[in-house]
Amino acid sequence: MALAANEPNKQDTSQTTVRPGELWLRALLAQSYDAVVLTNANGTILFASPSIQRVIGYTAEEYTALDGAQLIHPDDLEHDITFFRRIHEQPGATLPSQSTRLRHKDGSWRWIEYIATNLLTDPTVGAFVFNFRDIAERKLTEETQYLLAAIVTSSDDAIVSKTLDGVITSWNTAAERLFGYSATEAVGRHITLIIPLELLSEEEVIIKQIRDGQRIDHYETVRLRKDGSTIPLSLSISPIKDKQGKIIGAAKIARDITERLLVEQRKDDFISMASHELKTPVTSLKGFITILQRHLDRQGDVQGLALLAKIDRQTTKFTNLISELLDISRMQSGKLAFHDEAFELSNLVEEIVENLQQTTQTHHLCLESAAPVQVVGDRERIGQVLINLITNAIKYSSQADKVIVQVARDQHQALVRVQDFGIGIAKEHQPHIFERFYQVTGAEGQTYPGLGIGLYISHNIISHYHGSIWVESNKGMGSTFFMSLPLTQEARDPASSNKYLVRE
Amino acid sequence: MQRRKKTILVVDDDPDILDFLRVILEDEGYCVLTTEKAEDVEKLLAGSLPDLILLDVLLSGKDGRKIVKQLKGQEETRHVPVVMFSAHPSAKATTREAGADDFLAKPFEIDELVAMMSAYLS
Repeated sequence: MALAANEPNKQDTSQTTVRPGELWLRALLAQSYDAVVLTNANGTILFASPSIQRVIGYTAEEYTALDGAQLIHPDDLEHDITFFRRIHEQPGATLPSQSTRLRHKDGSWRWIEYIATNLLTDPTVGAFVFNFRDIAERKLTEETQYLLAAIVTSSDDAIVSKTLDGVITSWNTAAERLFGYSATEAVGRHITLIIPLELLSEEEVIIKQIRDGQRIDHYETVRLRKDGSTIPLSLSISPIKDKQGKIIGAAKIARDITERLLVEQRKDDFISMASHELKTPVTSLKGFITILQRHLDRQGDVQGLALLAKIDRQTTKFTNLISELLDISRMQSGKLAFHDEAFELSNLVEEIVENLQQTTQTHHLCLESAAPVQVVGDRERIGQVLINLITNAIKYSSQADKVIVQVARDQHQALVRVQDFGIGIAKEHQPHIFERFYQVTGAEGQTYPGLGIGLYISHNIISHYHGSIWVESNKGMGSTFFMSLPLTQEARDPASSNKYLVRE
Repeated sequence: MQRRKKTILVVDDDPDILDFLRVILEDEGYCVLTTEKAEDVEKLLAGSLPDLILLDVLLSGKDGRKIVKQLKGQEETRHVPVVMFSAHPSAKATTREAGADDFLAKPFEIDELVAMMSAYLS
């Protein structure tokens, strides 16, 4: 006996005769997330549970009036017909879930998963029983996952994931290419598989940061290949969190930087060579200027000497520009050399002020105070910073006639202050003046000579020694630049050891 | 009686640099020997030794640091001060390692050069 499609509705009108068990069953059918559909041997729909509306938009009544096959996506039709034949041949059997696309009442295609049971021979049912479930969300997740997997697989960068204990959990195609290990070889092994012995401690630092929920961006290091060779890489590592937000591992993206390093090396070599080639003729130029100077001096040619002094000044400027270019190139590749020694900062400041005063007619360089203070660093490099600050002060205060320099110290640091009474720096420029190539255009588009890298280089040098460099200025009111350097241990200690002596 | 003039041997592969150094150093009262060729150094040292050697780091054909190593390794020449110069400021450290007594970064101030020479030779 087959159930008629409208039978449940009929029963609705005679609720009083229904036993409680049947009521529960009906409630179950009505509220279930899944829809239940019964068909006869030909596929004609006999019954659909009310929940069918949730799945494909038609009410149970509307649905039973339809030809079920017409709702199936043309691409899935053949598969579904084959399935129907198979289930037909196996009375009593339940066949595992299938997915198909059905046209929703709103015209869109919906992914449905169904399970079918052949109960044709069951005398109380006499139908095929289908369980329909909307799997749109799951399909979407699957598709997203598929897409993500495709991105990971086709990535040029190696993408590797690992647990917090360092066990490799995934290994993409680029990782296979880069490191030489196949995914099968690498997954399950410890990440130290690709870390050179001398860099093993890196992993501890990385994992610690990941545990703290921090990312690591563009960390440049070296890793080991299967063949034992090393490869320079830029690593970006981020924590992997589970649904509850707990950190359960790390995802690492590794980019091969061999090519980039080669290009950088070539560029460095070129700049180094170019600077050498430029400096050699300047050396001769300065030599011959001196010879000519002595010559004119003996002849008492004052006019000639004045002209020659100008040539000399320009030659010095030219030399400084070459040095700056070389410095900036070195700085970018982290190859700027520092020769550290302990020295007396106030002596250096005095020396520089004296030297610069000799070539400056327009400004009086006042060394107002010079507290003796020992610092450690490259005397020439720190001198370079001081020269930069004082020459800037002169350059940007053409209407003024003095620059004030002070050296001070407190318990922890040495402080140099360079104050000018020039054009000042507008607030909006102040955060940028220590950036590379940043130049401020003056009023009426007035520009100032230079490469715009002096303060950038100065900032880098001072940062190297964990000091600070900063400015206080107002437009039109002059600028005061500050440079601080931490004191040497010895410079800090005498005070504390004295205290110690007093106590004893 | 006039004291013997101090002799400086200058080695650089740039003839213009040799040219101006000769004029300036002679002007300062030194006797100056110059050569562009590294292989001539040994010949020039075979006679009487100079009082100081000014040596370029990168000579065509030979590294000046090898010459200084050799000179400082021999009993007869060890005491002769060697001042190296180079347009590569980073060469300072390696010239020290090689045994050079001092270093001048090109381009140097002539006053600085003259002061250094008199510090070694007076």
